Amino acid sequence: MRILIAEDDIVSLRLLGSILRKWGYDVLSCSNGSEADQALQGNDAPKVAILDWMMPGKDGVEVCQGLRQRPQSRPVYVILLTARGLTEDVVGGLEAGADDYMTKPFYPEELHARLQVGLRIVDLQSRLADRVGELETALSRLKQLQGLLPICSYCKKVRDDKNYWQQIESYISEHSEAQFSPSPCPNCSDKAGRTQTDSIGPDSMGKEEI
Amino acid sequence: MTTRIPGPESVLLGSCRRLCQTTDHGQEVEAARVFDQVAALMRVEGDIELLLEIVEVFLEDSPRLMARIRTALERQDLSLLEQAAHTLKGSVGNFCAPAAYAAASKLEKFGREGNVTGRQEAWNELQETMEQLRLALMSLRDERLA
Repeated sequence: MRILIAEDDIVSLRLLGSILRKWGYDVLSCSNGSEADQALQGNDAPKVAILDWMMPGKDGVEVCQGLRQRPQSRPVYVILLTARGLTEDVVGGLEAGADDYMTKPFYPEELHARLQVGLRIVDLQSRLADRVGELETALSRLKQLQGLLPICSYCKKVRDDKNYWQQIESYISEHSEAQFSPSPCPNCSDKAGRTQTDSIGPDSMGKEEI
Repeated sequence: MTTRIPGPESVLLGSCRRLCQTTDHGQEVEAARVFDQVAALMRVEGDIELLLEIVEVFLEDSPRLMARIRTALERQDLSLLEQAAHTLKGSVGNFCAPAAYAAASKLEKFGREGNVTGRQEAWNELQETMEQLRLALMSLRDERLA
Protein backbone atom coordinates (compact mmCIF):
# COMPACT_ATOMS: atom_id res chain seq x y z
CA MET A 1 0.00 0.00 0.00
CA ARG A 2 1.36 3.40 -1.02
CA ILE A 3 0.83 6.42 1.22
CA LEU A 4 1.41 10.02 0.23
CA ILE A 5 2.78 12.34 2.90
CA ALA A 6 3.03 16.10 2.52
CA GLU A 7 4.92 18.20 5.03
CA ASP A 8 7.10 21.29 4.69
CA ASP A 9 9.16 20.64 7.83
CA ILE A 10 11.85 18.20 6.81
CA VAL A 11 12.31 16.81 10.34
CA SER A 12 8.62 15.85 10.54
CA LEU A 13 8.70 14.57 6.95
CA ARG A 14 11.68 12.34 7.68
CA LEU A 15 10.17 11.07 10.94
CA LEU A 16 6.77 10.29 9.45
CA GLY A 17 8.30 8.67 6.36
CA SER A 18 10.65 6.48 8.42
CA ILE A 19 7.87 5.28 10.73
CA LEU A 20 5.55 4.44 7.83
CA ARG A 21 8.33 2.56 6.02
CA LYS A 22 9.05 0.61 9.22
CA TRP A 23 5.41 -0.45 9.21
CA GLY A 24 5.81 -1.74 5.66
CA TYR A 25 4.22 1.03 3.60
CA ASP A 26 5.56 2.45 0.38
CA VAL A 27 5.89 6.21 0.98
CA LEU A 28 5.60 9.05 -1.51
CA SER A 29 7.01 12.20 0.14
CA CYS A 30 6.04 15.73 -0.89
CA SER A 31 7.50 18.89 0.64
CA ASN A 32 4.58 21.16 -0.24
CA GLY A 33 0.88 21.12 -1.03
CA SER A 34 1.16 21.79 -4.77
CA GLU A 35 3.41 18.76 -5.20
CA ALA A 36 0.92 16.64 -3.24
CA ASP A 37 -2.00 17.95 -5.27
CA GLN A 38 -0.23 16.98 -8.49
CA ALA A 39 0.66 13.51 -7.21
CA LEU A 40 -2.94 12.85 -6.15
CA GLN A 41 -4.26 13.48 -9.66
CA GLY A 42 -2.47 10.64 -11.45
CA ASN A 43 -4.07 7.34 -12.37
CA ASP A 44 -1.87 5.47 -9.92
CA ALA A 45 -2.34 8.03 -7.12
CA PRO A 46 -2.02 6.66 -3.58
CA LYS A 47 -5.31 5.85 -1.88
CA VAL A 48 -4.21 7.27 1.46
CA ALA A 49 -2.71 10.72 2.08
CA ILE A 50 -1.39 12.29 5.28
CA LEU A 51 -1.28 16.05 4.83
CA ASP A 52 0.08 18.86 6.94
CA TRP A 53 -2.22 21.88 7.04
CA MET A 54 0.14 24.86 6.81
CA MET A 55 2.48 24.48 3.86
CA PRO A 56 3.85 26.86 1.26
CA GLY A 57 1.89 27.00 -2.00
CA LYS A 58 -1.31 25.03 -1.55
CA ASP A 59 -2.02 24.14 2.05
CA GLY A 60 -3.40 20.79 3.19
CA VAL A 61 -6.97 22.05 3.37
CA GLU A 62 -6.83 23.38 -0.20
CA VAL A 63 -5.45 20.04 -1.42
CA CYS A 64 -8.37 18.34 0.35
CA GLN A 65 -10.95 20.68 -1.16
CA GLY A 66 -9.47 20.14 -4.62
CA LEU A 67 -9.70 16.38 -4.18
CA ARG A 68 -13.36 16.48 -3.16
CA GLN A 69 -14.30 18.89 -5.95
CA ARG A 70 -13.02 16.57 -8.67
CA PRO A 71 -16.00 14.26 -9.19
CA GLN A 72 -14.13 11.77 -11.35
CA SER A 73 -11.19 11.40 -9.03
CA ARG A 74 -10.67 8.10 -7.23
CA PRO A 75 -11.52 8.26 -3.53
CA VAL A 76 -8.49 9.13 -1.42
CA TYR A 77 -8.55 8.75 2.37
CA VAL A 78 -7.08 11.93 3.83
CA ILE A 79 -5.68 12.41 7.33
CA LEU A 80 -4.83 15.98 8.23
CA LEU A 81 -1.81 15.91 10.56
CA THR A 82 -1.22 19.39 11.90
CA ALA A 83 -0.02 21.40 14.86
CA ARG A 84 -3.29 23.39 14.69
CA GLY A 85 -5.31 21.89 17.47
CA LEU A 86 -8.19 24.30 18.13
CA THR A 87 -11.72 22.93 17.85
CA GLU A 88 -12.46 25.35 15.02
CA ASP A 89 -9.40 24.00 13.15
CA VAL A 90 -10.58 20.41 13.53
CA VAL A 91 -14.08 21.34 12.34
CA GLY A 92 -12.67 23.37 9.44
CA GLY A 93 -10.36 20.55 8.38
CA LEU A 94 -13.09 17.92 8.41
CA GLU A 95 -15.53 20.23 6.63
CA ALA A 96 -12.93 20.80 3.91
CA GLY A 97 -13.10 17.08 3.15
CA ALA A 98 -10.53 15.41 5.40
CA ASP A 99 -11.55 11.96 6.64
CA ASP A 100 -9.59 12.23 9.86
CA TYR A 101 -7.67 14.80 11.87
CA MET A 102 -4.64 14.40 14.11
CA THR A 103 -2.59 16.95 15.97
CA LYS A 104 1.21 17.11 16.03
CA PRO A 105 3.35 15.96 17.67
CA PHE A 106 1.75 12.57 17.20
CA TYR A 107 2.07 9.26 18.98
CA PRO A 108 2.94 6.49 16.48
CA GLU A 109 0.47 4.02 18.00
CA GLU A 110 -2.38 6.49 17.53
CA LEU A 111 -1.39 7.11 13.91
CA HIS A 112 -1.15 3.36 13.36
CA ALA A 113 -4.65 2.79 14.74
CA ARG A 114 -6.12 5.61 12.66
CA LEU A 115 -4.37 4.31 9.55
CA GLN A 116 -6.02 0.93 10.10
CA VAL A 117 -9.40 2.67 10.11
CA GLY A 118 -8.43 4.43 6.88
CA LEU A 119 -7.35 1.19 5.24
CA ARG A 120 -10.64 -0.46 6.18
CA ILE A 121 -12.52 2.41 4.54
CA VAL A 122 -10.30 2.25 1.44
CA ASP A 123 -10.88 -1.50 1.19
CA LEU A 124 -14.66 -1.07 1.56
CA GLN A 125 -14.70 1.69 -1.06
CA SER A 126 -12.67 -0.43 -3.42
CA ARG A 127 -14.94 -3.46 -3.01
CA LEU A 128 -18.01 -1.27 -3.36
CA ALA A 129 -16.62 0.24 -6.58
CA ASP A 130 -16.02 -3.28 -7.95
CA ARG A 131 -19.59 -4.32 -7.12
CA VAL A 132 -21.04 -1.17 -8.68
CA GLY A 133 -18.98 -1.88 -11.81
CA GLU A 134 -20.32 -5.44 -11.99
CA LEU A 135 -23.91 -4.24 -11.47
CA GLU A 136 -23.53 -1.57 -14.15
CA THR A 137 -22.27 -4.17 -16.61
CA ALA A 138 -25.16 -6.50 -15.78
CA LEU A 139 -27.61 -3.65 -16.11
CA SER A 140 -26.32 -2.70 -19.55
CA ARG A 141 -26.81 -6.33 -20.67
CA LEU A 142 -30.35 -6.35 -19.33
CA LYS A 143 -31.12 -3.15 -21.18
CA GLN A 144 -29.93 -4.75 -24.41
CA LEU A 145 -32.73 -7.30 -24.11
CA GLN A 146 -35.39 -4.66 -23.73
CA GLY A 147 -37.40 -3.04 -26.50
CA LEU A 148 -39.14 -4.23 -29.70
CA LEU A 149 -37.40 -6.96 -31.66
CA PRO A 150 -38.47 -7.65 -35.27
CA ILE A 151 -38.95 -11.41 -35.63
CA CYS A 152 -39.67 -13.44 -38.76
CA SER A 153 -43.01 -15.21 -38.36
CA TYR A 154 -41.78 -18.18 -40.40
CA CYS A 155 -38.21 -18.96 -39.45
CA LYS A 156 -38.27 -17.08 -36.12
CA LYS A 157 -35.01 -15.22 -36.83
CA VAL A 158 -34.73 -11.82 -35.21
CA ARG A 159 -33.28 -8.65 -36.67
CA ASP A 160 -30.63 -6.93 -34.57
CA ASP A 161 -29.78 -3.22 -34.48
CA LYS A 162 -27.28 -3.73 -37.33
CA ASN A 163 -30.05 -4.98 -39.59
CA TYR A 164 -28.71 -8.50 -39.43
CA TRP A 165 -31.06 -11.46 -39.14
CA GLN A 166 -29.92 -14.15 -36.81
CA GLN A 167 -31.25 -17.15 -34.91
CA ILE A 168 -33.08 -16.10 -31.76
CA GLU A 169 -30.96 -18.34 -29.56
CA SER A 170 -27.70 -16.84 -30.80
CA TYR A 171 -29.14 -13.33 -30.32
CA ILE A 172 -30.11 -14.03 -26.70
CA SER A 173 -26.75 -15.67 -26.00
CA GLU A 174 -24.93 -12.59 -27.28
CA HIS A 175 -27.02 -10.18 -25.22
CA SER A 176 -27.22 -12.02 -21.93
CA GLU A 177 -25.51 -14.64 -19.82
CA ALA A 178 -28.02 -17.28 -21.05
CA GLN A 179 -26.68 -20.35 -22.87
CA PHE A 180 -28.75 -22.84 -24.89
CA SER A 181 -28.57 -26.56 -24.51
CA PRO A 182 -30.36 -28.22 -27.49
CA SER A 183 -32.79 -31.00 -26.59
CA PRO A 184 -36.33 -31.74 -27.96
CA CYS A 185 -39.43 -31.03 -25.90
CA PRO A 186 -41.86 -33.97 -25.40
CA ASN A 187 -44.19 -32.85 -28.25
CA CYS A 188 -41.39 -32.43 -30.75
CA SER A 189 -39.85 -35.63 -29.53
CA ASP A 190 -43.14 -37.46 -30.25
CA LYS A 191 -43.48 -35.80 -33.66
CA ALA A 192 -39.93 -36.64 -34.57
CA GLY A 193 -40.52 -40.24 -33.49
CA ARG A 194 -43.65 -40.48 -35.60
CA THR A 195 -41.94 -39.00 -38.66
CA GLN A 196 -39.11 -41.45 -38.33
CA THR A 197 -41.50 -44.35 -37.98
CA ASP A 198 -43.48 -43.12 -41.02
CA SER A 199 -40.37 -42.90 -43.13
CA ILE A 200 -39.55 -46.56 -42.40
CA GLY A 201 -43.25 -47.68 -42.39
CA PRO A 202 -44.85 -50.64 -44.33
CA ASP A 203 -45.33 -48.59 -47.52
CA SER A 204 -41.77 -47.53 -47.85
CA MET A 205 -40.56 -50.94 -46.82
CA GLY A 206 -42.84 -52.45 -49.44
CA LYS A 207 -41.50 -50.08 -52.09
CA GLU A 208 -37.95 -51.02 -51.15
CA GLU A 209 -38.77 -54.65 -51.50
CA ILE A 210 -40.41 -54.02 -54.89
CA MET B 1 2.39 -5.58 5.65
CA THR B 2 1.53 -3.43 8.62
CA THR B 3 3.26 -5.44 11.32
CA ARG B 4 4.75 -3.07 13.82
CA ILE B 5 8.31 -3.50 14.93
CA PRO B 6 8.49 -2.86 18.68
CA GLY B 7 11.18 -0.44 19.74
CA PRO B 8 14.03 -1.61 21.96
CA GLU B 9 12.63 -1.37 25.44
CA SER B 10 16.13 -1.32 26.88
CA VAL B 11 16.69 2.12 25.37
CA LEU B 12 13.60 3.47 27.07
CA LEU B 13 14.52 1.81 30.36
CA GLY B 14 18.06 3.20 30.18
CA SER B 15 16.74 6.70 29.68
CA CYS B 16 14.30 6.28 32.55
CA ARG B 17 17.10 5.08 34.82
CA ARG B 18 19.31 8.02 33.90
CA LEU B 19 16.52 10.43 34.74
CA CYS B 20 15.74 8.65 38.00
CA GLN B 21 19.40 8.85 39.00
CA THR B 22 19.29 12.63 38.78
CA THR B 23 19.47 13.79 42.37
CA ASP B 24 18.30 17.35 41.89
CA HIS B 25 14.57 17.28 41.07
CA GLY B 26 14.66 20.90 39.88
CA GLN B 27 17.41 20.13 37.37
CA GLU B 28 15.47 17.14 36.16
CA VAL B 29 12.35 19.19 35.54
CA GLU B 30 14.36 21.93 33.87
CA ALA B 31 16.12 19.40 31.62
CA ALA B 32 12.77 17.92 30.60
CA ARG B 33 11.55 21.39 29.63
CA VAL B 34 14.50 21.73 27.25
CA PHE B 35 14.40 18.18 25.88
CA ASP B 36 12.40 15.27 27.30
CA GLN B 37 14.36 12.31 26.02
CA VAL B 38 12.00 9.65 27.39
CA ALA B 39 8.98 11.29 25.80
CA ALA B 40 10.91 11.84 22.54
CA LEU B 41 11.78 8.14 22.41
CA MET B 42 8.11 7.27 22.82
CA ARG B 43 7.37 9.37 19.73
CA VAL B 44 9.73 7.17 17.71
CA GLU B 45 8.61 3.83 19.16
CA GLY B 46 11.79 3.62 21.24
CA ASP B 47 13.97 3.60 18.13
CA ILE B 48 17.10 5.51 19.20
CA GLU B 49 18.60 5.29 15.70
CA LEU B 50 15.57 7.01 14.24
CA LEU B 51 15.71 9.65 16.96
CA LEU B 52 19.37 10.33 16.16
CA GLU B 53 18.54 10.46 12.45
CA ILE B 54 16.01 13.25 12.98
CA VAL B 55 18.33 14.98 15.46
CA GLU B 56 20.89 15.28 12.64
CA VAL B 57 18.27 16.67 10.26
CA PHE B 58 17.10 19.13 12.90
CA LEU B 59 20.61 20.36 13.77
CA GLU B 60 21.21 20.99 10.09
CA ASP B 61 17.85 22.58 9.25
CA SER B 62 16.92 24.59 12.36
CA PRO B 63 19.32 27.52 11.63
CA ARG B 64 17.48 28.01 8.32
CA LEU B 65 14.11 28.09 10.11
CA MET B 66 15.45 30.56 12.68
CA ALA B 67 16.80 32.76 9.89
CA ARG B 68 13.34 32.81 8.25
CA ILE B 69 11.78 33.96 11.51
CA ARG B 70 14.42 36.68 11.93
CA THR B 71 13.80 37.87 8.34
CA ALA B 72 10.04 37.93 8.96
CA LEU B 73 10.56 40.03 12.11
CA GLU B 74 12.93 42.42 10.34
CA ARG B 75 10.52 42.88 7.44
CA GLN B 76 7.52 42.87 9.74
CA ASP B 77 6.04 40.24 7.45
CA LEU B 78 3.30 38.77 9.65
CA SER B 79 2.29 36.04 7.26
CA LEU B 80 5.87 34.79 6.91
CA LEU B 81 6.33 35.05 10.69
CA GLU B 82 3.27 32.89 11.32
CA GLN B 83 4.32 30.33 8.69
CA ALA B 84 7.99 30.14 9.76
CA ALA B 85 7.24 29.98 13.49
CA HIS B 86 4.58 27.34 12.86
CA THR B 87 7.04 25.18 10.92
CA LEU B 88 9.65 25.50 13.67
CA LYS B 89 7.02 24.67 16.29
CA GLY B 90 6.16 21.48 14.42
CA SER B 91 9.82 20.60 14.13
CA VAL B 92 10.72 21.04 17.82
CA GLY B 93 7.51 19.28 18.79
CA ASN B 94 9.06 16.02 17.58
CA PHE B 95 11.69 16.29 20.34
CA CYS B 96 9.28 16.96 23.19
CA ALA B 97 10.92 20.30 23.91
CA PRO B 98 8.18 22.30 25.69
CA ALA B 99 10.23 25.47 26.26
CA ALA B 100 11.22 25.96 22.60
CA TYR B 101 7.74 24.82 21.51
CA ALA B 102 6.08 27.47 23.69
CA ALA B 103 8.45 30.20 22.45
CA ALA B 104 7.78 29.29 18.80
CA SER B 105 4.02 29.19 19.50
CA LYS B 106 4.20 32.67 20.94
CA LEU B 107 5.81 34.06 17.78
CA GLU B 108 3.34 32.18 15.59
CA LYS B 109 0.53 33.85 17.53
CA PHE B 110 2.16 37.25 17.07
CA GLY B 111 2.22 36.61 13.33
CA ARG B 112 -1.42 35.49 13.26
CA GLU B 113 -2.82 38.24 15.46
CA GLY B 114 -0.50 41.05 14.39
CA ASN B 115 0.53 42.09 17.92
CA VAL B 116 3.60 44.30 18.06
CA THR B 117 4.40 44.49 21.75
CA GLY B 118 6.55 41.75 23.18
CA ARG B 119 7.83 40.43 19.86
CA GLN B 120 11.47 41.16 20.67
CA GLU B 121 11.18 39.41 24.04
CA ALA B 122 9.56 36.43 22.36
CA TRP B 123 12.35 36.29 19.77
CA ASN B 124 14.99 36.43 22.56
CA GLU B 125 13.19 33.65 24.37
CA LEU B 126 13.09 31.54 21.22
CA GLN B 127 16.80 32.05 20.58
CA GLU B 128 17.65 31.05 24.14
CA THR B 129 15.44 27.95 24.25
CA MET B 130 16.56 26.85 20.79
CA GLU B 131 20.19 27.09 21.81
CA GLN B 132 19.48 24.99 24.90
CA LEU B 133 17.69 22.41 22.76
CA ARG B 134 20.48 22.28 20.20
CA LEU B 135 23.04 21.73 22.99
CA ALA B 136 20.95 18.96 24.53
CA LEU B 137 20.54 17.23 21.17
CA MET B 138 24.23 17.54 20.33
CA SER B 139 25.03 16.08 23.71
CA LEU B 140 22.75 13.10 23.01
CA ARG B 141 24.37 12.58 19.61
CA ASP B 142 27.90 12.83 21.00
CA GLU B 143 27.02 10.47 23.85
CA ARG B 144 25.91 7.85 21.33
CA LEU B 145 28.96 8.35 19.14
CA ALA B 146 31.39 8.03 22.09
